[in-house]
Amino acid sequence: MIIDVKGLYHSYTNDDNYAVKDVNFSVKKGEIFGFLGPSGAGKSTTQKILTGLLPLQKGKASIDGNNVKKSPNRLFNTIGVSFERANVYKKLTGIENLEFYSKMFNVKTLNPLKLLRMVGLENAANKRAEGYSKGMLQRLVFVRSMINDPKIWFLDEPTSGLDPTTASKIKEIIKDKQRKGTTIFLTTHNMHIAEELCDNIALINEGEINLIDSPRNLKLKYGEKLIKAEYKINGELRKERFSMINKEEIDKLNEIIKKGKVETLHSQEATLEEIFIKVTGRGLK
Amino acid sequence: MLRVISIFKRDFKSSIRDNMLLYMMIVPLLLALGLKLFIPSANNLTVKFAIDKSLDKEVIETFEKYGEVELYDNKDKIIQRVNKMDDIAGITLNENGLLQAVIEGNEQKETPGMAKMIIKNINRNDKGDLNFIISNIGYKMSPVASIGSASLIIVSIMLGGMIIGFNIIEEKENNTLNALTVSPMNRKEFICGKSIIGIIIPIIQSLLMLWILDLFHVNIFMILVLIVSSSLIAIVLGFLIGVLSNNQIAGIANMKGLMLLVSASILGAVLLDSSKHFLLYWSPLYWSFMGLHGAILEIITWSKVGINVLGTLITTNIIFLVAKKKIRKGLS
Repeated sequence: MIIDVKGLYHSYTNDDNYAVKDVNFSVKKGEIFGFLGPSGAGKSTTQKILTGLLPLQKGKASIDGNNVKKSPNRLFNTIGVSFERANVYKKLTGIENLEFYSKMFNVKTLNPLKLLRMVGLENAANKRAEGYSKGMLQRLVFVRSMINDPKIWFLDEPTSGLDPTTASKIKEIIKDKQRKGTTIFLTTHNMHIAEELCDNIALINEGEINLIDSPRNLKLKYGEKLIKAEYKINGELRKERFSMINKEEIDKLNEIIKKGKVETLHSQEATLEEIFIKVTGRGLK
Repeated sequence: MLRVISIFKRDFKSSIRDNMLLYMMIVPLLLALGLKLFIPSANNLTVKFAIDKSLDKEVIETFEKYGEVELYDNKDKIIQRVNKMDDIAGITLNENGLLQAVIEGNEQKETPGMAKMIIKNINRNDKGDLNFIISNIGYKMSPVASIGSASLIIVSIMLGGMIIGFNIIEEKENNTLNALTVSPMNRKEFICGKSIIGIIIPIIQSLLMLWILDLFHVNIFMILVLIVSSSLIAIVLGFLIGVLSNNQIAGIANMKGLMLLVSASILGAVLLDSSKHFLLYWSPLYWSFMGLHGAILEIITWSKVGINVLGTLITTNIIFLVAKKKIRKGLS
């Protein structure tokens, strides 16, 4: 396991009021592991402990075999961290930000301009970051985390604030990195990105992990197969969802179909959000 | 080492792109120019004469008895020289072949007065010496010039520390410290990288100020030793202001408080009777000022410089020990 966490607790107030409690999970090499949960669930706290931004108070956590409590600085040569908040030097240009950050590593780093080109920032390379839009800053932080070509990549809400086209580009880059063997730890409250990218997902709520499984297994286990039908009755158009595990509803749908009143018919799976609500009783927002 | 230099270069680049920090880098030089403009001859009380080379050797020798003599080829060059900032009286011949003094008009009264008396003496062909004595208390420079120059160097040292502080505030405001924490850079490299600007900037500023004030004849090495040792307190205070202030406004407020400490140390050293100087021994800036003032007046020996450096280092160390925990916590 490249990331291994056992019995992790953290309290910001140094008392029993834990932001994360008894968190256990492990991530295999080359896997995209998603931490899915609403704001304040403990996603970023866990990531901060793993990356050394918060001290390990209780429990065990290791990255690539190194205990995070006393991990050597050189370990960071193999780690990349993309922050949710766009934390760049605003008075430096995009390229200056990347060039400066590349000097912090002892390993061969990637070409800054090439990285900027990957996310469509090549034309803004020599523009000061203070003139960047929110989306541009987000992209700059994202590519900065790639500068050392990390083996383990921590991404915190990587598509937040991005338009669909750019978000799709970012997702493609993430998939490509995974294909090249990078292990990715992704924290998000966006079920679509989690569903699309992750091999395994941990559903975290109020500091505790409720479930860990692949998106497909979660859907099979907790999702209800539904059929969404639009049909006419007495000249009036109606929309209704029918459960495929409830006999009464199956019979009702069959009746409608037999009468030839169906206008449209779609199969529907439960979304991760629905599963999350079902498991935690709370939404993802 | 590469990381340390990169941090310094980043800070410097960022500082020159910030109007307030750029101003902090320039203001000591502007003040030095002001000092130079408003106090002609601030650096020297010796009477100086710019004399036409073609005058009799005897005349030139007479002037040499009373002051410094500079020789020039013709009247135009003498006028050019007289028009420069410092006090100097030009001596040449008029149309009637008589000695005349050329003055700019803003000189201290001793300069034209002495020139006139010497000329009068030569014209009368009086062999007796003139009864014109300029006495001083052993200093070669006016107090305004020496205190002003030493104070400006202290100000530039403290502003170097403030530049560190404001760069740390920038890191905090942009949350960039987190990005550095998840890189192989360690805390020592960060502190060293951030500190360099607090030493380099005062050194460059001070050398330029000494040049502006025509003080390059002082022992520059002595001045540099004093600047480097004094920079340490500015660095400590810069880090402290950086970690205590969450934004530039708070940084400015804290800087004002700090400047009170600077002013108190300098004013105390100047105004208090030397028997009461022990009241200022707690302040590293007192030791720095005393050393720099002595070095500018050229009345200090290396052993006295050593005492001042030691005083600065001991008091800085005490302040550092008090502030250490706060700085460490603020940077983590």
